[in-house]
Amino acid sequence: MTNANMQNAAVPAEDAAVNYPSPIKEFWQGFSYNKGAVAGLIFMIIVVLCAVLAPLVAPYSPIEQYRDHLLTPPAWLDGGSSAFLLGTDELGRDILSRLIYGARLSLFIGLCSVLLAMVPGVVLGLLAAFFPKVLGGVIMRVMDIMMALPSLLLAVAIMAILGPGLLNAMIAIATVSLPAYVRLTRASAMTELNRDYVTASRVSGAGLLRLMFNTVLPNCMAPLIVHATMSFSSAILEIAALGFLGLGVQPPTPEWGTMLASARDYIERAWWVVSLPGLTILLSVLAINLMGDGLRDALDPKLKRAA
Amino acid sequence: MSTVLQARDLTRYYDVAQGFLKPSAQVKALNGVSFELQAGKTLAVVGESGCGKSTLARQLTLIEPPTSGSLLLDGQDAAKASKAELKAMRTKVQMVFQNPYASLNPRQKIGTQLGEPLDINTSLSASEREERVRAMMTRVGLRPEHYYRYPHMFSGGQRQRIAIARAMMLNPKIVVADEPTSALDVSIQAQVLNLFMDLQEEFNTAYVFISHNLAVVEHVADDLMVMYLGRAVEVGAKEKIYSRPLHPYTQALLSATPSIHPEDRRVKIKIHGELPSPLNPPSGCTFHKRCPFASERCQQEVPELRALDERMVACHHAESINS
Repeated sequence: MTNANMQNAAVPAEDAAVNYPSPIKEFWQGFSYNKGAVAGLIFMIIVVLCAVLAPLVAPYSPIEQYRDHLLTPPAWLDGGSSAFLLGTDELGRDILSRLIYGARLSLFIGLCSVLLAMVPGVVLGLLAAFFPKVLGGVIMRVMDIMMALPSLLLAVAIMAILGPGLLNAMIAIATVSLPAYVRLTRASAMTELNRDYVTASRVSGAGLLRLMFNTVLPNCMAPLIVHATMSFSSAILEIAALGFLGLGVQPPTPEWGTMLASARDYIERAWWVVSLPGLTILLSVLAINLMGDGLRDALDPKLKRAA
Repeated sequence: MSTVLQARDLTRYYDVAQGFLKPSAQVKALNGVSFELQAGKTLAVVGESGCGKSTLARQLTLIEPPTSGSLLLDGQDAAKASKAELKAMRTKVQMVFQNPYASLNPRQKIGTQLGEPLDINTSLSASEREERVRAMMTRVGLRPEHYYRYPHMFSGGQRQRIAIARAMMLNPKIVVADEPTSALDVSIQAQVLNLFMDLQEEFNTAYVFISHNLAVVEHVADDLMVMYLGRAVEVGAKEKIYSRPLHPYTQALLSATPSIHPEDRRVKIKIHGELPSPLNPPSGCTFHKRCPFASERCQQEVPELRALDERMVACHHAESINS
């Protein structure tokens, strides 16, 4: 009896040693544990699919104007038509089609400006933390100057130098949001740098790059992921603001922020023209934030259930 | 017996800002420390908080260069070494830290962390590394499945064993252990100490064992160095110093060790006052303000280490006190 028990006990332990989950599977286990993150992921997959397959999914061309159907309400309201499911805007363009096509540009803008700000921001922040005396001082003072200027004003000034255009608009927005990443990275890297495990890594001969990106950076990721998902939404809105000033996306190109900005005159007469793009932005941002939370938790070994 | 580590007059001063527009002050954390360490032996460094023990550890592990003095590792001078030589020297000295909760990277699996020193310093393939890591894990008493676990899944004692395994991965000549047992509870301390001693026997590693627990020191040390405010006050073989301490500070330290056997209890010598600020150390013998035997001479003249009764002691009155 005891013998059998011992054998039984020994078998699962050995199995556990042999069949340890692969990193991808382990990541998915951690991620899928967070139901909100999975919901966010599903929503974003749908949005991305719509954006990629826009010509197949969208019922109409996003720039075609149906002059007989100006400001048609959505299908479920009085006066709505099943031909235009989410109604039409002030020029008779189908809102659903514009939202689907707009996802292409909006997601691209959000993603690019986050990446353009985050990658240099993290590198600068790490440099500032590793060389606090001279280089760190210079970097942080420059960042302070950038933070002292109103963000939109700075973006407009950068646009004025670079000239209008989508890429330049993204660069301008990324530059404006750079200081936040630098500060966040520097602050968390400096606390981590004093930890013994960094010293241990140094003693075993780790070079600067390994210390920066392999030892310290993974331990600073939590606030960075949260901030990146949050700035995704502000990037979409700032692009809209630049577009409104004639510096970003030019009409009639469909883009969520521009749709929101250009329809504000009709907010009393036709709420759907403003609300639907706003709702789309809101839902996407919410989904991305949920995903970010799940990502942060899945990447943090402490929050994983003990394997 | 070969000498693996030789320190001569090691000093380390830190500049401390005193506030806006004030000149920065200098903390003499380490003020001329010399010693030798033989392969396979253990030198224990004892002293109260703030006496420069951890600063010494930082010099020995080449994390920081000393302000002056020389450090010979395996016959090679650290101050004169080129960058490549320094990198090779680094692998000869490893360190075990006080707090096992902070000394392991929380985001890396144990297997990865133990393999890192090999990854950096050798050209072994991934599978060879894994083999070496697994062998070392078995050696320090970890189970194979621990390879894939993260540090937070371990207890303090297990973590300290992981930290020891990491220090031992490169088969170093010297391991500097900075109070490795002070964060562990007593039942685990013995395990960890025995592991230290077993590994020493197996790999012939020399230890610099920093501690303020004199009972632990008595258990592991061959030689003893007692420090006070950045200076060594008594250096010698453990048996000699434990049986007959000559410096009044050593006497006070040893008399503070509790013992359950009444016949082992020493007469308690109380020293008064606090450790003076290293920003503004007392003149002469730094211990004179707290020393019951201090005289005029102690206030003016710094006592040098001198040989007396088979050990080195830095006290003007060592003979008269102990006769």
